[in-house]
Parts: sequence; structure tokens; C-alpha cells
Amino acid sequence: MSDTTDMSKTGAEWLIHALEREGVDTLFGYPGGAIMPVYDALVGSSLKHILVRHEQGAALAAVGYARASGKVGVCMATSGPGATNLVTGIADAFMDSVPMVAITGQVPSHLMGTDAFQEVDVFGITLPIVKHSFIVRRAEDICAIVREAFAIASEGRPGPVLIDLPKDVANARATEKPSTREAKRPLPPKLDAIQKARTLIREAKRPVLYIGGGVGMANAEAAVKRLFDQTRIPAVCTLKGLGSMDPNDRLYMGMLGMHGNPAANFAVQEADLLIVIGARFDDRATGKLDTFAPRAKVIHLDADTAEIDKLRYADVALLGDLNKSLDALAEPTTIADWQTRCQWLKAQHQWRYDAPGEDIYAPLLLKQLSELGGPDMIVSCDVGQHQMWVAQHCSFSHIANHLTSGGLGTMGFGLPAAIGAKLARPQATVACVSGDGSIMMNIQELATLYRYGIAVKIIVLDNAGLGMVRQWQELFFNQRFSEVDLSDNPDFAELARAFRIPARTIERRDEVLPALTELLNSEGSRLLHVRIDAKSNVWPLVPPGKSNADMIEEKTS
Amino acid sequence: MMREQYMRVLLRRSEGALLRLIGTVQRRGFEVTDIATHAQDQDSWLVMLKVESARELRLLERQVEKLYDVIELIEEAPRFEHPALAAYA
Repeated sequence: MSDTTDMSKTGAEWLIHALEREGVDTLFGYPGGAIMPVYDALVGSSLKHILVRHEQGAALAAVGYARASGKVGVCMATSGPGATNLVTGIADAFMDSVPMVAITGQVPSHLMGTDAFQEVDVFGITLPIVKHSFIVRRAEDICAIVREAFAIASEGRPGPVLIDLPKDVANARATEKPSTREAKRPLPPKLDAIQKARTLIREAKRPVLYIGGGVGMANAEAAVKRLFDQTRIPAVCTLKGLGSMDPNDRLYMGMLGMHGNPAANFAVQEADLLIVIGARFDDRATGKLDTFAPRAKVIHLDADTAEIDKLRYADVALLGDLNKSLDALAEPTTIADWQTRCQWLKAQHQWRYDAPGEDIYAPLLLKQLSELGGPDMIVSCDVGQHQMWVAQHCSFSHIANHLTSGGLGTMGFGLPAAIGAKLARPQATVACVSGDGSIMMNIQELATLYRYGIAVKIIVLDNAGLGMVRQWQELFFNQRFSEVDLSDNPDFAELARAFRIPARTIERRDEVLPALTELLNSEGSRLLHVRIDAKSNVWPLVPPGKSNADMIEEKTS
Repeated sequence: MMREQYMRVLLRRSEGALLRLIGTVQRRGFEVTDIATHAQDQDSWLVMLKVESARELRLLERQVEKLYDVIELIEEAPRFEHPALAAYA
């Protein structure tokens, strides 16, 4: 082969070619010096590039895209500050096991390690928050690295993969070195482990299904529902498992944990067997670990061996294919007394919406939003009190319809994640529930909504402060309020209008239903600014460091 | 109770592999008290680590095994002594 035909593409062109071959249709990014060859190669490609207004928005939009669609999310940025601005989004993907490929431009190879302009060791910076990472040293390696990156991001327990591409490599002409790397398929579960698990289930008097976000990643929602229907073992969900269960089922107890439903926490505390499905005993779910479900044996189903025993001893570990494991566990149970007990617990701990006063009651507003939007609506939320209210009071038909930054707790997640979700699933109604603190962390992405006409229904619950921090200061720091006041917030409706997003403000209860109806029924993006009581707290609550058995409820005066 | 424990890792000679391994060891709550690396051939390093921690080594081993640069953990004692994981040994 002659050089002229052989060396047909530059590294940057091979990168775009490889992304197209992966089936990427949308990517999120922001150009800059070191990644200019890639942006040059982007012109005329089939990829839809969404120009965000801050690289963190690109990374979090890729997370939202991936979580709403199950596909690999892709973001890119230039070297230096572009790359460091991606870091929070990469960490978010790592903590929530989201398949993502992040591409960063890098200064030319001969300048790496010389403190060149916009040089930063993003490979080193991101080592603890990626599943794997690459620096591309030769243009001919690009296609194989992209294939490897996509396989790694999606196989087993998903996660983010970084590809750092020096500018000279992006400009170099090369031949393609094809790769046949396939994502590893999960292995079938081991028979003897299945047998042990079945015996434990058969012998259990008070079993509980403890369902986490791994169920969504493994596409195992249907298998979990089958197991639940066949065994009628009472179920609880983690924050990220919400959507896997029918909230109205009499044996679904709700979310467990710090702001969970007391019925869920008490059922888990009384359990003699926990069947843990794609969950990882996170401290927000377990409370004080050594008091968590103290009499329960554990069957732990997970794609990640490192989760077994990490925090809680597993009597039986079921690794590998979650769908196969779940189907193999359908064992008849005789737990009528326990089912009665759980139904009673659930009846005792129904949410109440009859809050006194004239202020808008956020839990009721969110329940109404959920009812008006229907169970197929995607709700992306930010982090803080409103995040917990969404988890408590909205209903979801699938895990992929509840986008919440569970592991990292990233304020600023909601708006970019909603953008990603709407682009991944254009037919779905997408709402973003945010707070007056969180919305300001990626407010610039209102410009992205306008630019591409992406319809996201934004609700800003404005309590003029950092409500969750304020709540902890009130309850656990002797009411010494420190740096939580945001009463000089901008006028959020005016701010939205400055970005050409229609908006309105409400502050009375009788305004809620008409405003929500208008928000959901009108075309395009809108922002609803909702003033709520600055002193509202999230109830109930397990105090930090305490047992889930010690959940405290709101004192009613 | 702090304990000294040993780990031997066969590592791919790829960019960042050593950093990734040592970073994982430290981040997961183990102090590296001794380390030696030896290039086996063009493609692999043998890394010998002495680590100190109150945590159990098997929890670290499972984190290390997940790293894509790790070819294998070289064990002297039988692996997966945990009964629930014996089936996967």
C-alpha cells in the first residue's frame, strides 16, 4: 500500500471515525487550543455535538444521557482548565457507576512535562475516579483505544474512562489498527451459591429485598419484579433503586436510609435475611453500620466482587449475571406473618401532605408534579433537601427516570443531567427539580437549553438558603447558622428570562396546580420559581452516626 | 489492629500502571511500607508490596484485581478463603 492511501486520516479524524463506529450520536463538549484538531475533524461528521457553557455541564450532561438511555455518555474538553472542569462530572460517573468516555485534548507530546500553556496532568488527576484511562501516544492506536474504552466503560460494573489525546498525536497521519475487543459478558452464577441462597430464602422468616441502582445498570428491573411477584418478599429500595418497584404495591416499603420511609428502615432492622441486589451498603442507606439489620443473614448479588464483604459480611455471594441469578432465586416462601407485619408498618408510615400554614408545601408540590407528569416522566434533581423530597414524594416507572447524584452528591447535577436525558430520550417529558443553591452551580446551561431548543421543565424550590446544611446546623450544631443564607439570591424568573426561557414565580398554595399544569403543558423549556418556607426540614431523618432504628420524626407542636 | 501483609502483583507495563496500583493500595486504607518492582519482560512488571493496615488484605486484593493493568495477583496462600466466594476461585 502506498503512503498516500494508507495514511488517509489524522489521529483526530480516526477518533471521530471510531466514535461514529461506536454508534455515538450525541456528545457534549467545549473546544479549546489542544483539542482543536478534534473539533476540526468534527465538521461534517454524523456526530451531534452539544456546545455547553462550562465543561462541568458537558460531563454531567453525558452522565444524564447515559443514565437515561443506558448507552455510553461522551464528553470532551481541551487540556488544562477544560480538563479539570470535567473532573467533577467524571467523579460523579465513577461514584454512580455510569458508563462514560471523557476525551481531553493535551498539549503536544514534546511539551508534556514542561509546564506548557494549559498543561495539566489530567491522567494523574483522574486516576482515583476513573475505571481506566489512556494517554494516546500514537495516532494508529486511537481506534483500538476507543474500542477498549467503550468496552471497559460498559462491561461489568460500568464507569468512566478517560482518553487524553496530545495535540501532535491528533494531527499525525496514521493507518488504522483495528480492534476486535468486545465488552465482557457477565458469567452465569455458580450453582452451589444459588443452592445456598435458595436454602437461606426457604428458611427465612423475615426476608427483605434490598434493591439498588445496579439493577438498572444490569437491565434487571423485569427480573427483580418477577422475583418480587413470585416470592412476595417485602422490598425496599436505595435512592438509586427507586423506580424498580411499583410504589403502590402493599409489600413495597419505600426507600431505606437517612431520609427513607420508617417502614422500610424498620422492616430492614427486623429482617432475618437481606437479599441485596445491586446495592453496596452505602452509609446513607445503612446508618450506623454495626447496628444495621443486626439479625439478618446476607445474600449479596453484585457485578463487582470488591463489593462483597466490603462493608458487610455476605453469607452468600452471587456474582455475574444478575438476571440469571434473580431468576434462579424464585423460591416459594411461607412468610404470611411477616407480610402482614410489613403491610402494617407501611400503613403506619404513609406520607402526610396536610401541612398547616399557607406556604407552599414542597413535598405536596412534588407529589402533584409526579402525578401530573405521570410515571414515565424523567425527573433530574440537584442535591439537598429537594433531592430527598423528590426521592420521597415522586413516583417512577423505571430507575432510568430518576436522575439523582447519589454517590458524589453533586450540586449542579440537575440541569445538565436533564439536558443529557432529553437528548437521549426526546419523546419523554423531562423535569429538573433544583434548589436555589444548586441551580446557581450550573445556571449557565440555561443558554444550552435555549440554543438547542431542548425542552426541560425546571422547578426551583427556593428557600433562600442552603436548606440541608441549615437543617443540620439547626439539629446537630446547636442552631449556630454558618454561611447558609442566600436571601440575596437573584430573581430566578428574571434570570431565566434573560436566557430567553419563559418563567414565573409562585408563593401561595393555590398557585401550585395551575403553575404545574402550565409548566408541563406548554411547549419548550420553562422555569417555575417556587418560594417555600426557609425553615422547612426534611423528615424523617436518621441522625448522622445513629442507627436506622433511631429515626426521628418531625415534632408537631 | 495494624497488621503487616504482603501482596505480589503481575502488572502490565502500561502508562500509569504503577501509580494506579499504589494509589489504589493507599486509597483503600493500606500504607505501603516496602515496595520492589521488577520488569519481567517487555510487557509486565512484578510488583512486591509490603503493606500495613487494620483492614483485611482480601478486601484490597479484590480492588486491585479490578484494575485493568493487573494481569494477576500471585498468591502463596489459597485464594478466596471466604466461603461465599469459594465457588469463584
